[in-house]
Amino acid sequence: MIKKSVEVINPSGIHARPASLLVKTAAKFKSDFHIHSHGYRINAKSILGVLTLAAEQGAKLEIELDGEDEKEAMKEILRLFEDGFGMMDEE
Amino acid sequence: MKSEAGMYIIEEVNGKNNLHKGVASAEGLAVGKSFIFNPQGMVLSQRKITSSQVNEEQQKVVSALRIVELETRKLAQLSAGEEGDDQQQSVSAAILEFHREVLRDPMLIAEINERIRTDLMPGDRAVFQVFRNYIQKLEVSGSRMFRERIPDIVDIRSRLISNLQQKEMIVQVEEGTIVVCREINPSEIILFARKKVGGLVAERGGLTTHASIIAKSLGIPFVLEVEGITEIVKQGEEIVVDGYKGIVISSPTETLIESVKKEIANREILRKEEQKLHAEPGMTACGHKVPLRVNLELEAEIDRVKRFNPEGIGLLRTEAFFLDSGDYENGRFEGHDQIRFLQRSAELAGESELTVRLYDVGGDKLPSFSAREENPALGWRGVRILLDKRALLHSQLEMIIKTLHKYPCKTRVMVPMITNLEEVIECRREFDEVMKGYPAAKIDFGVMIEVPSAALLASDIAPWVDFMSIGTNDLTQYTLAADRGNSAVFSYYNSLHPAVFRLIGHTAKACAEHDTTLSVCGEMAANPGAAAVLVGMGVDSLSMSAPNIPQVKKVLRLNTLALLEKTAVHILKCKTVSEVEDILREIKTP
Repeated sequence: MIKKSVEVINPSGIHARPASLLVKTAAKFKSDFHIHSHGYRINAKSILGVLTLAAEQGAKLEIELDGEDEKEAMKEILRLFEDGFGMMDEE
Repeated sequence: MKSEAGMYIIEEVNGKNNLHKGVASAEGLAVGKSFIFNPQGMVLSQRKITSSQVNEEQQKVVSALRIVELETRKLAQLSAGEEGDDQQQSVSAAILEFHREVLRDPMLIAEINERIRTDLMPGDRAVFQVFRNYIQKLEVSGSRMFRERIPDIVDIRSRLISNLQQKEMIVQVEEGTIVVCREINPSEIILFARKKVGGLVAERGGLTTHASIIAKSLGIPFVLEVEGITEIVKQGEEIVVDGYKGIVISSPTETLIESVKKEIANREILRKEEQKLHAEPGMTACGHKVPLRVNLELEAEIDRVKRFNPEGIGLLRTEAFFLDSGDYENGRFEGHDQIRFLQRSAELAGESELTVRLYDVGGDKLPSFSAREENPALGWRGVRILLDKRALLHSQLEMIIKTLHKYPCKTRVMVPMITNLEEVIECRREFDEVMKGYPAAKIDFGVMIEVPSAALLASDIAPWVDFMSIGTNDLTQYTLAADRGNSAVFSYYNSLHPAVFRLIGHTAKACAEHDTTLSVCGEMAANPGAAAVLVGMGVDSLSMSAPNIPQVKKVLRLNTLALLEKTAVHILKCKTVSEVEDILREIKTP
């Protein structure tokens, strides 16, 4: 199991579109994917779970991956966060 | 289309032309017969199931999820086939993609199945309750952005339940009808769009809900938050909906209907003209060609900019790919994404120019090999990093040239942030070195002029380059010592400062003397007046974000080169920003 802290940098936070992207990316991997935030732990392969995090810009989250392809999954997922889900220019 | 709305006049007539104010949600103007749409509320089954029925009930839910997902995919195709703006269409597609993800949510399915099993409730009620939990969680979340997703989730829930209850939404409406309802969800809008309704009016709704995005993407005028409108409008009466102003007019007079129809026809003409404008090249009133190009950063933008018909790509930013999986220290990149981006950009450019800027990143973006800097704007960035990380520079040059040398576009490679001649010569050497491997390739080498020192050295730089491109944003920031992101000094950051124009003028003169091509790719190119002056100074082409192309094109086509040259001379003599602004007013605008 590996864990990493990330920050949500895109202005509109993890709303519907970033959440779709996150869940779809996670679905490519076998590893279990959870996000920790404010003492909650949600299954991040669930779009409704991700959405109920209500993670806005600046939110600090902890990503947890567990499985045979956890490293590759972490790399791709971190990139989504670093790229602001490709939505950096969005209001 | 951004022209002024409301060319029709609403006369006051007793008991007629009643105005109802709402919120403009999707642009457009329509007149048509009303259709009051009040779907029946759903009734959930109250029965309990027996444990032997659990499996069957769970199966029903799974198949309902699958059917609704299938339907969503069909809706996505349907809305993609509709006429409309590419960008909004991709938004609409993204919404439906979100719906599909919800329908595939593994937790959701597990929770519904669990509810059916433990509480022995039928599928429709299990669906209702599990969704309700999520909706409640979103309701208490602080952000509007998240609360506004609730209607979508409610929509998905309703569709699932009606599917489980085997109900079909049967709506009979004629083409051109105006749908008036309490509230409307995205899938209903798409179904109405299929019937070619003329407009939508709702009593409730939020501005950023998917419903309004879908209405926009389908080009259906939509007015929201019109209080009590379902009680006021009579079924089948003719009404006007104005999605520009956010108003509805009930009981309109014949005269009003006529003038609204005329206005609709006028707008159609304007829209066609705008489309015609896209097909025309950028040039002055006297026919001097000034290609108007587009700045691109992401692959996703490519489809959106096509309709503006840009005459090439004047600035292709590659920073987004800098953090591609790879070994930065040694310049070993996989670079698949960047290569695909280059290829797709080359396809967009066709036979026009494609100017690729080498990585322009600041030290703060390089976690692997840099310390945090006190002042990144004046720190280790742009060409400084490229020259310090020679392998990185080499590998990107190799990647660009190897990928693009066989395309018909006119490829140009551009170095960012140069401040002295040594950097130019050094980069040129690296470029020539890589080019040796491609003897048949015709690729130009150039630099960005975005620091005053580079502008002042333009005539010394010119012999070493094929072209220069002025980045007005950084040039302004470095000339005026003002960070445009810092609100405390925001008023100091002004691209119309005479010193900025003089540096551009100086660069333009040097380029003219050395026969070096000069373009501008900063935000100044998107300000129609300033862009026109740049042309007067001798700038050969302008590059900007795509939506700005039409307005710049319109202004250029109204002014002759002679006038712009005269204006440029005046601008170069200005002492203050307000003097510059006064002179810019002499430029003809539509």
